[in-house]
Amino acid sequence: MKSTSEFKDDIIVDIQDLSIGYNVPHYPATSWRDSFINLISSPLDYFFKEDDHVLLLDNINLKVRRGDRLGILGNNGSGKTSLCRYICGIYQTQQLNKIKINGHVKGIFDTEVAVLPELSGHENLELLSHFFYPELSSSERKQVIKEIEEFCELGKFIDAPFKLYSKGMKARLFLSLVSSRPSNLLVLDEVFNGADYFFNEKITQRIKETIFSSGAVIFISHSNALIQEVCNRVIVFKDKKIVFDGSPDDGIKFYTEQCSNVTLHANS
Amino acid sequence: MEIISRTTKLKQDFELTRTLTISMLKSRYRKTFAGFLWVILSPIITYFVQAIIFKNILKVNIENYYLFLLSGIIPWIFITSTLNMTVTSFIAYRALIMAFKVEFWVFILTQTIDNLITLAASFLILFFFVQDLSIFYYWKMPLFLLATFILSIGCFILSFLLATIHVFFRDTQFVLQFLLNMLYFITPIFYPKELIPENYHWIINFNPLYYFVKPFQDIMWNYDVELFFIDISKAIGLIILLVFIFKRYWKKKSNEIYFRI
Repeated sequence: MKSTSEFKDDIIVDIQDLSIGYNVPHYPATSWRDSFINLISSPLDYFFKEDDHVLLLDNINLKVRRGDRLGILGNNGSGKTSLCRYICGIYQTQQLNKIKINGHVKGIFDTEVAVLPELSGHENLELLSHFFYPELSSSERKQVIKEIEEFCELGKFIDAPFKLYSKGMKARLFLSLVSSRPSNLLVLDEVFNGADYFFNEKITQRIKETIFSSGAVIFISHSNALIQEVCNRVIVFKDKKIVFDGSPDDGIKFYTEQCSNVTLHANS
Repeated sequence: MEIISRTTKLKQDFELTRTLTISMLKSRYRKTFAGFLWVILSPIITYFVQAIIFKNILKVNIENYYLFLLSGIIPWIFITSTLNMTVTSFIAYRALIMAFKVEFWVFILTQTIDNLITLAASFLILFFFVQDLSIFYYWKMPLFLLATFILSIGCFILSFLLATIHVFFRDTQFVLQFLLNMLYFITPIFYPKELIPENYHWIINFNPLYYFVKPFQDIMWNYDVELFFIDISKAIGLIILLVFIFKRYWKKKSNEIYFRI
């Protein structure tokens, strides 16, 4: 990862020539038993056949500037989420020098994840705050947690086991957490899609406020209407490549026309 | 992401480990009948059953046998419980690994510390039963703590390696259980190494887990400081070898691991 001094002030993400893939054995084994069977059944292939190469991202070049609300469109398995996970530092790669990030990144990929579901919402919130905001001091963390608990209005349910929460309650807690502090780059991966909480005006309003107050936003959604409402720039992914970069209207049109019959790939 | 120093990042990761360990302990023992008590009772009961069988029924003729058994069985229980608990860690925490930027080692270290706390509690109770408190003498305690530290590091590295392998070979946990059962009999825990004929000593020498158990026997039972430092050096050598193997494997698999979890 390069240092912030290399950046022009308005560039938050700078990715150049990023191609990521990994090798898988020609006969992939998921257990020692499978591996043994492969060895016995075709020993020559086992030792000498070259591994297959699975491509995750193909020659990605992308700059995200301050003020960009970048929507990403693409079919399942086209590489959208993989790119965002690399940007957030969730996936680690030996090519990190090709991904330059200027500032704090906060990503939300799953609104239902709990650290320890047996523990209460409050306890999980405290744990999640360590994952989201490791830089906070103990007193700041207490303050942030208190504010989130007040905001999410779960009342006495905050002390109930997290595993008993409904999808909407989990999302309330999660979205309240992610939107409680500003960040230079906010990455939202299909967080609004199809869930009831989207209609909860308070949460939605705050998330939108966070989107508009963050330095830049990367927003993945299969909803063209949401992309049009939130974003001021769109890129379209096809076969692990960026095939379009432009305005939301043109991007949605391109996606609808060009990508409607794309073959699905594994490992989205 | 903002560039933060390695020290700050490490500090944050350790803080996360601390919080996660406390929460994990809470989570495990909440609403369970005598939860923590049962966990510390388990090694104590195992110890007493073996002590009665080997000393009183099979009449094993070893001086201060209760102390000898204690010096081997507690580190052994720590090794087996840590390896068994951690081997599935990356699969168990898949959702967190895929949702947050978190170091893999945090989950392994959390479980290792969790087991270390249990080990310490069981150890303290058993010492009072055995009525040999000489380990608490000022010159022995630092050596005992050093052996515990080396044992923890060794278990941590081995656990990390096995948890990574388990992502690619899902039956690793079953193979591990089988191997640990086998290794139990070829680790001099309930019998001293001297009971094994010379020509079979190579079996013991090839048993990696024995290198972490032996320093405890040196300091608690043999009272041989020189031998202790020789065995600690061997254990450190094994750790270096494990780190080398792990680093090579991790380098080869680090791109792929996220897509196999």
